[in-house]
Amino acid sequence: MTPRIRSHARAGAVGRGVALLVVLVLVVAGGAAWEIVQNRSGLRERALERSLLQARLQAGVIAASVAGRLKLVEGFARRPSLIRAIEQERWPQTAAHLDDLVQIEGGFTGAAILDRRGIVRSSRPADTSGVGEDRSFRDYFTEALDRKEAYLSESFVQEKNPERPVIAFSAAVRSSSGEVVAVLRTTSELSFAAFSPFLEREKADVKVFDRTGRQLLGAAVRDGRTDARRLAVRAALTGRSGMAEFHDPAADAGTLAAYAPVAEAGWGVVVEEPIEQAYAGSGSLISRQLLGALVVLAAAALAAFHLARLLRQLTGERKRSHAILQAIPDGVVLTDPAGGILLANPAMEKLLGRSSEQMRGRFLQEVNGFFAGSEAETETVVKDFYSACRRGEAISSTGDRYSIRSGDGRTIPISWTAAPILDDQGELTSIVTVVRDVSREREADQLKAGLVSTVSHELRTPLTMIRGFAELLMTRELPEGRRQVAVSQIFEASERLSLVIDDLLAVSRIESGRLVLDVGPVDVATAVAASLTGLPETDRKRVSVGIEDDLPSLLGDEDQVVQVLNHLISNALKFSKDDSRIDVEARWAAPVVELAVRDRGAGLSPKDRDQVFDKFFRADNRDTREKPGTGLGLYITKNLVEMQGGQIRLHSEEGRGTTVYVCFPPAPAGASLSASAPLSLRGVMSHPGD
Amino acid sequence: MSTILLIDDEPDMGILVSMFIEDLARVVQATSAAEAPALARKEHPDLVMLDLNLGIEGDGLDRLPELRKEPELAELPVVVFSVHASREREARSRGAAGFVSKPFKADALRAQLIAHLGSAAAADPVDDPPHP
Repeated sequence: MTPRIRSHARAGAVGRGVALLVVLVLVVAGGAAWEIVQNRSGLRERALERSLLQARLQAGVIAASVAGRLKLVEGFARRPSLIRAIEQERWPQTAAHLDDLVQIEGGFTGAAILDRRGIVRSSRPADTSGVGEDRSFRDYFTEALDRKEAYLSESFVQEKNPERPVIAFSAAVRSSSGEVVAVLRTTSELSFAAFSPFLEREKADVKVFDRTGRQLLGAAVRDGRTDARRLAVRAALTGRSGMAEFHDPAADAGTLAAYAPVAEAGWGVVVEEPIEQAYAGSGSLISRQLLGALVVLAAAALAAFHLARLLRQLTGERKRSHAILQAIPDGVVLTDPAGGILLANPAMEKLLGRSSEQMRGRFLQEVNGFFAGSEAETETVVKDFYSACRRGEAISSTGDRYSIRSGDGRTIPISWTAAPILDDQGELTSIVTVVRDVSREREADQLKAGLVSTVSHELRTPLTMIRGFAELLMTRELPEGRRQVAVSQIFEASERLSLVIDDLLAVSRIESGRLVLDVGPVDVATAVAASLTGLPETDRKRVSVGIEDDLPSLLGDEDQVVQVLNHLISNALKFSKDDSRIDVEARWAAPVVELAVRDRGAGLSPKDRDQVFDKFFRADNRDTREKPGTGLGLYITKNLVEMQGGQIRLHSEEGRGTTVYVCFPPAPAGASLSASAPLSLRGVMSHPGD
Repeated sequence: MSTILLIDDEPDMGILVSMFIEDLARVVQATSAAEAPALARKEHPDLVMLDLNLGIEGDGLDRLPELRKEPELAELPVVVFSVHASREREARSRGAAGFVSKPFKADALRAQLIAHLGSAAAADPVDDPPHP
């Protein structure tokens, strides 16, 4: 896979800057070497040549460095996503672009976006004190407004760091209609390290002047202003190169000065050297050729270093993108502008049941079908999709009418979001589409609708009885027998209503996590006895209790253990014949205390056994039709048991009855602990006390 | 006297309904759609009242086509009787002649039944006329 997301635009801008630099260095160094070979006359000539060569070399390197940065800033100012962010005044998003710019090895120390009025809207490194300040008077703002290309400013100092002057590269950011919406400004420190990092300056005194004659770089001239030096600077600023000899009053010595213009910037370079040193240390031709070669080598090494760094950045980004694509649970597919598949992530491969290889170059619609309701609707959606992408806009599915065919032929409901990837010129290069399988959400929606329907049925049915019989009692003269029927119906229905409400509240407490357990040792015999006290006499007579001798206490919340037994015993009574026996047994089944409730009822079918603990599940048989119930009892029971660190399972045979087993961890000997977190209980269970 | 076949999984709903309309019709109840055809053959009802939530049997309207296969039930007016008042439009579009929501008001129940029993009675003059 070759995910190329944002890095290729950056790579292009930096790559062009580096290439330009390398070419200029090679041209200057090559020309210099050629001149050296040609000119073999006299020591002085050679010394002059060497000085001139050095001035031109310095000027060439600085020019390349300036030109590269101007191009870089210009390129950034044309980024469609940056333009959009500015047009929509999403200033924080513009800061991400500034980060990109500062992180690139362009030698920028800072970057900022100024709005049309010259107010700083975002800056990097983040400088909140500067944000919002009016910079409309600066040349980097006013001059950039009218230019198509980037502008190199005059030097200036920043409040934060008045010791070190800086220079700005700025470019107007224009909307698609060509109107200026902002100005992008970067700053670079004025130092040789920033502009010609690899040139030797130890012997010679290199000075750089801007177009106004102000000195930008190099040792300051003190008490040594001579007309000859001024003339050399002026000549360089007007685009000429050459040599001058003059007497420097500061050093009280003859000085040899070579000057050359810095093409891109309109600056001038002057290289000065004491005459004596210049003529003595000119060295042999061979060593000068060697110098030339070394300079070329150094330039190549620097370029290689930059390229390697860039490559590392790209590789790093590629790896990150790859990891993200691998990890993302939604299907991600990258297509060319026409819709041909370039790559798909594993989630997409799984969704479609095909490998990336099988899909490459084919159209998504062809591979797995893409449906949006009717055929005409699908066509409209596909058309809208591509026109949005060409406009550079992201587009998302709306509604629930989209589906796709899976590898095994199933129709999977999906939602999707697509975003176009544009190049520097705003041309569509590819489209990334994220496809989500929404089967589960759909199921959850249906389940929720089902629950609402069930709950309203369970509440309104007894309410119907209560209201109906109450109306009869109020409006009609009923004979005594009928009055009795009505009153007992009202009573029964209100009992049912209250049970339904209890169950719903229990479910709500469990699901919202508001049920706090008071966990401690629970004596099994006490709990069983407590669960039987609420039963009518006739039911209680049917229950036979058997508790193993010396059974350890279990660890749980006593009230909830009683609740669990209540649910299980009343279920057993409800779903078995009126005279059949119910067994409640408790024993030590190392390493847990096991409670069992056994009935001799109709039992459950294998299918029902799997669902019996589901919310609102009611078995499909005659018994359940005639017995009222919410279908919540076993769901609540299972949750209560598991919250206490226990386990529940069920053994059932059709026609022979059902046994529900509940296991709890034993209480640690002599312990009396209290906890509300099931996690801590599970911990106890895996290391049971003896 | 007319006969109403009530299909409702709440076993005592028939007692309640019959106490409200004993002057209009007698009520026989099936607690599931599956039992309804046999009961219909025995009781020859004039109208069906159908609950929408039949518990494990699912949605009453889904069972309607199957109920219509029983000749005794094929032509009868069906009044849907449900807690889901919002489903009235759907019920009518799927073949129900009337709709009574639960909990019901005596007047609404009687009005619906009188309206639809009237047409049933007219179509089948053999039936006893309703009590005054």
